[in-house]
This record gives sequence, C-alpha cells and structure tokens, in this order.
Amino acid sequence: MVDAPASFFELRETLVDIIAKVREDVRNAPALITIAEQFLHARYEDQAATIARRATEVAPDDPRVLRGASGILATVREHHLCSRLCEKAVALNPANAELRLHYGVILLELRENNKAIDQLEAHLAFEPDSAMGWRNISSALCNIGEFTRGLDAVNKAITLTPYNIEFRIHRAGLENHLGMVGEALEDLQFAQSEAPDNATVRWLTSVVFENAGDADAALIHARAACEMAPHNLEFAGHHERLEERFGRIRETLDRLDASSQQRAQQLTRATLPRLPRRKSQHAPWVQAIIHQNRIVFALLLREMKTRFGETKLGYAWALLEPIMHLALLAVVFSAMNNGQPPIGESLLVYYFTGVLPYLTFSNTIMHVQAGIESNRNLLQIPMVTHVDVFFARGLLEFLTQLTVGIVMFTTFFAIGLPALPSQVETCVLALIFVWSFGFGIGMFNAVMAHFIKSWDYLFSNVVRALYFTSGIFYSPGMMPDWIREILAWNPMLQGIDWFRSGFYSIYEPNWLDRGYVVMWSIAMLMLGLGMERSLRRKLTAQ
Amino acid sequence: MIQLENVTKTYRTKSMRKVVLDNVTTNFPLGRNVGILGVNGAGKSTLLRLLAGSELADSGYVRRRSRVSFPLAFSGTVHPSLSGRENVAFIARVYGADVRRVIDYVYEFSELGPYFDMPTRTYSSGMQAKLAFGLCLAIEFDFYLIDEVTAVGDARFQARCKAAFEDRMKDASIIMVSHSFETIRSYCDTGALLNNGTLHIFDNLGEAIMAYRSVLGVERLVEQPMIAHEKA
Repeated sequence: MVDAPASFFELRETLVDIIAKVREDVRNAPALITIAEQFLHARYEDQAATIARRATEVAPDDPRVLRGASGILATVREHHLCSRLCEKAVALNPANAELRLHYGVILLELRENNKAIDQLEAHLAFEPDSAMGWRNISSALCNIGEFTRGLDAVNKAITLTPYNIEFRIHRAGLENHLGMVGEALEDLQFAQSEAPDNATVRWLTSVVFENAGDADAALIHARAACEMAPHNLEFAGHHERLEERFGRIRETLDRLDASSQQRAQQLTRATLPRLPRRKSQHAPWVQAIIHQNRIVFALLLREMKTRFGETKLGYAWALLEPIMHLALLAVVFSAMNNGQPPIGESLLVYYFTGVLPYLTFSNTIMHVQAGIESNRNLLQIPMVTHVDVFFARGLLEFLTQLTVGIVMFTTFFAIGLPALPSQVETCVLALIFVWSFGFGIGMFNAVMAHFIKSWDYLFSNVVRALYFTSGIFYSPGMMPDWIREILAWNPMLQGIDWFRSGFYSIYEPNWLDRGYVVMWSIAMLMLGLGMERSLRRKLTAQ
Repeated sequence: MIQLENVTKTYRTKSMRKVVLDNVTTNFPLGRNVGILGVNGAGKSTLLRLLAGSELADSGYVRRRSRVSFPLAFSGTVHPSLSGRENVAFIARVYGADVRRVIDYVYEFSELGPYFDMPTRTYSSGMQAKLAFGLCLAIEFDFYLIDEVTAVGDARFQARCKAAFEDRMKDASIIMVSHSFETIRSYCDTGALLNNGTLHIFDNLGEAIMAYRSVLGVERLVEQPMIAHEKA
C-alpha cells in the first residue's frame, strides 16, 4: 500500500513537505490522502480514516483520491463506505484495472458475489495475467456455487504464481470440496514443503484426510496444527472431534472382532418394531395363490414369446413338430405294415394316439429340465422361484400338446379319417398323468443337471429308449407274451395304452394298470418337488 | 425394514470357501440410505442378492417387512430376444403393478424411442442400463438395491437417475454397493462395513468410510513422503 520509509529522517522530510502543502491549500486532497497513509502506517488507524474521509469530502470527483481513501478505509473495515467510493471512482475512470480489482475485493468482503465477479472480470479483461484477479474471482465463483469455474480460475492463478501458499490452500480446500482428494493432498504437500510451520496447511491436510477416510493421517496432522497454533479454537475443536470419532470407530472395530458367539447374542427380535403390513383384503393363503398365479401367468406369456425366438412362424412350430414326426412315421411304417394298423382303421390315427402322449411326456421333460439353466437371469428376480419357472414351462407344454391334439384330430376328421375318440375324458386324464410323470422327471433332472453337468445327455438316452419300448408304432398285443410282460413295466407304455383305451372303444388290454401310471407320476412329482425344496439354497448360488 | 437373523452365507471359489456373512444379526431400517463398503471379494454383491432374496442364506433368516427390489445390477434381468416393452411388461406383471402405467413410465424415463420395441440384445450397455433403471424406478419398492451401476450412462442420464431416485427416496430407501465414495456420498447418509464375515451398520457415512479405510490399512490413499507416520 505505502512503501516503508527508509528512515525516521526521511519520514519527517516527507511529512514536513506535505504538511506545508496542506497548509498552503487545505483543499489539497491528494496530500491529505498521503498524510492519512502515513498515519495508517504508524498504526493510527482512526486518525487515518478521519483524514481519508475528509479528503473524499474535499475532492469527491477525483478517482485517485477516492481509490486512496477506499484503500485506507478498507483496513478499518468500512467496507460499505469503500464500496460507495469505488462505485463512484469506477464511474469516473472505468478503464482503471487496478481500481476494478480493488472494488472487486471490497464487494467480495461484502458478499456481493455477482457484482464482485463483474468487477473482477472487467479487471481481468484489462490484465489477463493478474494472479490476484484470478484468485479473487475464484473465491467469488465458489461463493455462488460455481465450483468448477472457481477451480479453473485458481488454476490460472497458480500457473501465474506457482509458489503462493495462500493460493495452494485455497485450491486444496476447493478440491477437497469437489471430492478430488488426491489433488488436494498434492497441493497441501507442496504448501507444507514451502511453509513447514503453517498451521492452516496442517489443519486443512487433516480435514482432507478425514474426508478421505484416513483417520490415522487426519489425527497426525490435526495434532501438528494444534501444536503450531495452540490458541486457535477452530483447530483445537477439529482435533478434539477427530479424537472422539476415532475412538468410537476403534471401539466398533474391536467389537466386530469379538467372537461371533457374542454377536449372536445381539439378537433383538423381540424388541424390533413392527411395520404396518400392506393392507390386503384376502387371507394370506389366498394372497399366496393369487401371487403365484400372477407370476406363472407372466412367465407363461414370456415363454410363449421366447420359445420359438423371432422366427416368422413363431408358435406354429409347436404344431409343425408333431406333424413332421407323424409324416415320417407314416411313410416308413405304412410301407412295412401294408397300411394295416393293429387297432382301428387308420394307421395315421393309430400312430398319432401314440405320438401325442409320448411328445407330451418327452417335451415336458425337455423344457422343464432346462428351466433353471436357461433362466439364470430371470431367477435373479426374487419374486420368481424355481417352481414358478417349472410350472410355467410345464403348463405351456401341456397346453401346447392339448392344442396339437385337438388340431390334429380335427384335421384327421376333416379329411375323412375315423378320428373321434370314444371317451374324451379318459384320453385327457391319461394325458394329464403322462404329463405330470414327465413334469416330475423334468424337475428332478433340472436339479440333477445343476450338480452333474452331463446329466441331460445321460437322461436323453433313457428318453430315447422309451421311444422304442412304449408301443408308439406297434401294439404290445403283437408281442410275444414274455416280452410284453417285461415291457408292461414301462410306465410310458402303460400311459399310451391308457390313452388308446380311451380313444378306441374296443381296446381294453388285460395288461393295462392305470394305477401304476398314477403311482409313477405322483412319485416323480414328489421326488422333483422334494429335490428342489431340499437343495434350493444350493440352486440359487451363483 | 430388512432383518438379518443369524445369517451365514459362504460361497465356493475354485480353491476355497469364502465367508460372506458369519452368523450376522442386524437390521436395515427403513428411511436410512446405506452404502455398503468392503474390500473386493468381501461379498458385497452377494449380500445384496441375499437381501433381495435372489440368493438364499446357508443358514439363518432374512426377513423382509417391506417391498424389496430385485438387485439393480448392470447385467440386468432382461431377456435378450424380447423387446424392452415386453421385458417391462413381464416385470410389471410379476410384481402385480399396473402394466400400462409402468410401460409408460419406463418409455418416458429411458428415452429409448424406437429401440423400446426392439429386442434388448440390440441395445448398447448404456441403453440396457437406462431400461433397467427405468424399470426398477417404475415399480414402487420400499428398498431399492443398487449394485455398482450408477456410473453407467452419460452425465445427463446420471443426473436424471439422481433426480428420479431423490423423488423415490422421499418414501423409500436405498442400499447400494459402489466403489466410488463420491457416488455413495451423493446417495447415502450412512454406511455399512462388510469385513471378514461381519456386517456393521454405522450411524453415519463418515465413520463408515473411516472404518473402511482403517480396515484397508496398508492401502493408503496417498503416500505422504515428507512425514514419517508415527502410529497412533
């Protein structure tokens, strides 16, 4: 502000000279300012302020006097008055860069941040390399919440003046606020190496470490700051709070390290408050059924859309499969058997009465057993359980095969074949038990396949063997007795004969035991569901 | 509230058994947004799946007295050959929400435009995240479980997520796993530390982060070259 006079003698010379000028003309405002500055320098602040005020009254339109007075009055914290003086001075001399900087700093003191930014921007337009300008505009920007712009500004200031400790402290605080902990610590390290005895640097380092979660380092720096500045209340408070917090954390960690037996005793079940349950107008078990139906239905729709991918024919493939199967059988066996079926009049219809239950059985197994493996993503949704997926897939297969049956028999009838079943309900019942037999096996396989990777391949051989031993394209009645007695143990052969006994009124084989099929299907359902239930925890593991 | 009662959970890697939770009893209270901290491999994601119910504990009980979301993870729960719309409809049906309302919300939130009706396997990872976020937000849960996904998408989308979650957080809570302290700070008001099979929920986030750093021990954030660390 004022250059320090070289000696007392020199000071006296200056003062004598100036006082002489003022004597000549009491309205010599610049001289008054110089006197005020000297008073200020000698720490007579009140007198300095009074003389400065007097100078502004004498020369209210001299920007240099106004600037000088403002500088003096700022040191006695008369910022409002300074701001008025500066405003006037800027109006009189808008192109003075230094004046703009001074006015900006005054406005910053008054927390008039937006006005301060205007003035500082004007200052920087005149002097783009003003480090102080960038430093102060950074503060103003931070005050209005523009932290990133504030950081840019202080970065420029530091590029211009790399060794300013105050700039570094300011930037470190800002970086800490923005979560740039590493950068903040770098700045503080630099500041500490330049000014090892600066308590503020140590205090801020402690704050940044605390923010970063490094309690040990935070404590070390807090202690250092307190030692350097023992009377600073803010540093002491920070240190105390840190010690208290750190003690609490140590305590918690120690407790966590205690034996798990102790932890188990923290069981607070009885004391837990109960949240009000969502209102439901249904009994819990009704709710559960609604819930399950909803999920199975959603899964069913999803399976229908995804089963056949994005092929043009889509779901029609479900129909095409048995038709092709049947066409192949018809071509091969009609050539061999001279077109005469073992029962009934049409070979085609006879084959189909075997193919339909068999496909219901084997397709159900195939799709249900792939349920877990192909729905890994889906099973991430906690609402969807394995059993839901099994049911959706199994149900879809049953409905598909039922539709296939209806469409095929209708088509046969339409082209003049004898395709009317004599007892529809027996046919449907046989289909249901054949299906549930396959469904149980499918669930069992799904669980097994989770633990034994090649299970699918192993079991597909069983299914293939059943294809040839289940009487699809021949009748057990055509077999020698001893072979038939062995084949009659095959539940699928029994199932197909059950279906045919309902379809053909005259067909009632003596080896048919419907109870045997029912027994198998119930046993497999129980086995499948039981396996899922007992191994559920393992099945969900990733 | 989600209550854990004597929960033990281990998982097997190729060579060893890893303990995630060892007989843990604690509560995640409704109204606190918890960030789960823990070293890599501590089992943070497994813990989230456990809370959701996607995975079951070896022993003990996880009781949910509130509606808990599925773990909102990057991989998502979508079917690749179904369109965004079909996937959304499925989840809405599963959770018994109003299908049309949910679809409208997700369509608007995700800003996928015509992609909404394309199979999700054609989506970029950012688009998948948008769909997953929209879907999760569209359904009213009491707890939203988020697994390291907030870093996905551009800044604008992240801001949208933040705003949407803030709206939801008026009457719902968040439990999240993230490696970014910044993300956790902006979403959570408290933290939990998962360490060596123990789980402790702290009263405030700062303490949780400090405890986490203490557990990390040697892995200092920044080495301090000029002062020797005299250990407290």
